Amino acid sequence: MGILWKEKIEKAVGVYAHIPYCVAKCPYCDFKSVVSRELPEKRYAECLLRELSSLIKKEGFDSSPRPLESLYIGGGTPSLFSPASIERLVSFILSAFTPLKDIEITLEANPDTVDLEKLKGYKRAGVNRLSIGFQSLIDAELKALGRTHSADKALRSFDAARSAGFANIGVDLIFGVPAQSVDSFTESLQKAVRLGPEHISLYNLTLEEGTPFHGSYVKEKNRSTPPLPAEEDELGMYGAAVELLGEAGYIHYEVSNWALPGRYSVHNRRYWSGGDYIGLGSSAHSFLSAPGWGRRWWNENDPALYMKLVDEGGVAEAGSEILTREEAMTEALILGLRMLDRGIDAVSFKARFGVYPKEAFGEWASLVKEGLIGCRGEDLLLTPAGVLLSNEVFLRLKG
Amino acid sequence: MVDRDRIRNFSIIAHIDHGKSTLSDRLLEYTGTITKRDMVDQFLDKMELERERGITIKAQTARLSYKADDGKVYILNLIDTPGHVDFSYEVSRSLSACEGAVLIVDASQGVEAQTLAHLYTAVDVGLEIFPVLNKIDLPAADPERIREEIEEVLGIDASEAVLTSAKAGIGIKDVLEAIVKRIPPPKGDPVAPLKALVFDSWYDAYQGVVVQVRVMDGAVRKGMKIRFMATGKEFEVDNVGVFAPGPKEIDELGVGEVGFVIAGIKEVRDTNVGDTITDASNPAREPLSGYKAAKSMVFSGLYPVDSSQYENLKEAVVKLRLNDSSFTFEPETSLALGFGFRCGFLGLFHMEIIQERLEREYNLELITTAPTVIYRVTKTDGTVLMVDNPSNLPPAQHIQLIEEPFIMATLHMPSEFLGAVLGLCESKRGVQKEIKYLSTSRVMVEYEIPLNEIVLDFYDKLKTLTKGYASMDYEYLDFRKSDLIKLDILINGEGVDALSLIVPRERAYTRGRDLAEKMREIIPRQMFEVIIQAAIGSKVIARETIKALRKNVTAKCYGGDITRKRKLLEKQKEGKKRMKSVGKVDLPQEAFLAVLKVS
Repeated sequence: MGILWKEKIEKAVGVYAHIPYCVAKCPYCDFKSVVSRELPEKRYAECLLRELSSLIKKEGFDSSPRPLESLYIGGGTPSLFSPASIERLVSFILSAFTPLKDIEITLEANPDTVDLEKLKGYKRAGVNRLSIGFQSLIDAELKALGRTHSADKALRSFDAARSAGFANIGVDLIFGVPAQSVDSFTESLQKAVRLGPEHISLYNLTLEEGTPFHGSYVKEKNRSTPPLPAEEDELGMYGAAVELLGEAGYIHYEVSNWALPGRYSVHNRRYWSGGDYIGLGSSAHSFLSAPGWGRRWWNENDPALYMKLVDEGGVAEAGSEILTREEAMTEALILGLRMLDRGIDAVSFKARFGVYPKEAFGEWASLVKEGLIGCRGEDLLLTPAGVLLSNEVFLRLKG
Repeated sequence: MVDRDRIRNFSIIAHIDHGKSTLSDRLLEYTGTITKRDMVDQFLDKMELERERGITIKAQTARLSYKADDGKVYILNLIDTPGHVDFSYEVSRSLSACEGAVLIVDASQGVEAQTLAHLYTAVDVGLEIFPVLNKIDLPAADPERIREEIEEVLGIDASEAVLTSAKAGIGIKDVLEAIVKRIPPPKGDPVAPLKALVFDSWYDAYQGVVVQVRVMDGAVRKGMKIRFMATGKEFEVDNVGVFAPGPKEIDELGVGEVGFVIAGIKEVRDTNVGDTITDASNPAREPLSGYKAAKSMVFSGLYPVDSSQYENLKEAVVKLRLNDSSFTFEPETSLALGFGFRCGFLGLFHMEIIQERLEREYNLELITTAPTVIYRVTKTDGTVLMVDNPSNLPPAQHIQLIEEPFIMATLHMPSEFLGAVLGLCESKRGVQKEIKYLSTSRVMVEYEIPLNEIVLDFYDKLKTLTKGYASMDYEYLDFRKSDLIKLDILINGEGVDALSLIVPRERAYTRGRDLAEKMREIIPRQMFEVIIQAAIGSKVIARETIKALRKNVTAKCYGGDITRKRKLLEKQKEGKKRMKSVGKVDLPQEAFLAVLKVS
């Protein structure tokens, strides 16, 4: 079983396609996205396909098409694109690989940009998983976050998705939002749980440099903006979520992700397990486990420039790195521990690096004593207390 | 032997940034001593560090050959001087090796604190001085006004001041002609017993110690047995030569000449600046006057962050000392920091240079404790001790009195900043001695101030308050009685010896409170609560709490975040390695220097 699993992630790939456009820029988001009235939808989609063709040739995948385990269309706001464009993307990408029978095809959707018809169209296009960006189900918080949709609209978009036939839906919520309280957050979460999504992502708001939020909360310490919750309250929100979602049957399988049994995100787990993936589109990242300890590359950030480069040369790589053994181990440490149910899997770690995690990370025993990590045989896992201090744990484990 | 009438020994003196190094470069270029192609800007600043900081730390000379308008070829020995107040003794010795000095004044900025300080030194050793107004090509240049200022403030004739722009190469020949015409040739007795003034020395990995000398009487030649009159040590001369500007061996250095002596000397401290070299078989009766042993005035503890690097640090300080006789060190043990060294420096600037060199050239990661001066403590039993580490101060009941070093600070500033500067000096326990308007817009003040106040953040404050327009110079006065006590810092109940400091009693409370608060800002949150206390004896006067870190987690980690996250972790790990664990608490370097930020 273990060997089969390993085969599967080594040979199979995932594909990420990035749609960089949005109807409005959210003040907390540091992702490179573009707000434009006229969407270069067709041209951009064609560029994605052209880029894929070039990469397949470049990486030598054309001689024997690799199994495709997952396709994730993210953004930006992919649901700005019409079902027709999405269908063209999906069918082209699938035809370039050997899709696994149970392939996961996810589309990120913004409540504001979808209705029943459109969602049915996505379903027909082959999308079998939706990720809906709720962010909050309290109108005041949505406003503070600069979102254009209402809580009601979010709830209705979920119902529409079910009606359209989506049996696998994830929703996103944010905590640590301006003016949010433990109670208001719990209310959002309860409303979301009542819908019965298969997957819930819960992100702590981060003030990223260069965003308007960073400007008003870190740089200017602007008093006219609603205050951020105290650290104490954020801890309360997280604690409430762990409890509430646990009771509702969700498995806390990654620091910020919960899923009903068997409904974890196949595509995201690929990122966290060191699997291969190809990223298409502006600012997309790709990773292949060879050469060296893995090669990662990333594309040009600006969509217009991305399209220009693809038009000219088929690809739009802006930078790359080949990992050293030490870097690969650091990543295996961070990503492995973030997967709370799996931890650092000793068998695959040993197969990759020739040592067991406990041999590679000498400090583990003292962290066990402090109750921040636990062992399952040779595997290392974060404890619930360790999750909140995970960055400190990584720092101490990294030799 | 060179005809003495054809020798001119001179220095260039200037306030920092008034163009000394650039003018030196132009003189070397103009006389063909160095070709433009080999010219590394500021040739005389030989160390990498000097070039980066753009100032000269170690003096070096160069011999220039110049055919003057009178048709004769002259040997001009340019003797470089260190550019910082910490090295004022070395400056005075370098100047003693000359007969004249070129005084550079920036034609727009005018007379500054160091212009005056260097000029006084030059006058003291009896040099012939002529002014040069530099940077005349700048739009703000006002040679007429500056000329008046020089005459008024410095009291020297500026009517025949040479106008230059060293940067643009204007007036270089005029400077050379003025050196030949206005600076007298050296005097001295060629047949008297050898007397050579040591004005610089350094350690060279191949040659051993290289000594820079000015021959005052007699001559020094290869094979001669020489004696250093202050230390009494004797050596046989391997060779003598001049820098032109690369080293060039010659047969002998005769009277009035400037050059180097190499004599199998292993340590720089055997060749103290200001000492007199004489002929061991025919010694001079008296050494040259003005010799002073270098004295450390500022002290701090240097400890390796990683205690396994102690041996490397030891090796490094021993090597540095070979090349710097004014740097001293003694092994020291701190309960908090382990094994390290208590090091003595001429001043703050000297301290920074040494630290930087240790870290850069020897690849060491160091924790530096806050700089302190040396205190003279008289105990109740009458014994006197010199305390260069606050944690060594005897218990209060055993102390009869404490004395601390005072300096005379000379400050120059545009008059609009006078109020701010007076306020600063008063707040630093200064006593005003003089206040003088140099012109309608420039003021000079003189203050007696405890050195300890300068060692803390005086320069930074001065710079901020005057937007960088004030300049300062100082000289040591003496030890004076002050009402001082020891302030201790406790972290989680444990006293940290390396954080103790000596403060004036009337400021102990404020200082303690500010310091504890500053430490709270500097020390990163740890996985447990950290309590910082300031105490006098057993009495706690301030307390701050750093709450335990309860949340440090990254929300998102997907394809595009992984590289960034990994790099962030690597960077944090590096930062952590630079911290020193005291008890269980990780303290960054800034925590040990927090006192510099609060006074």
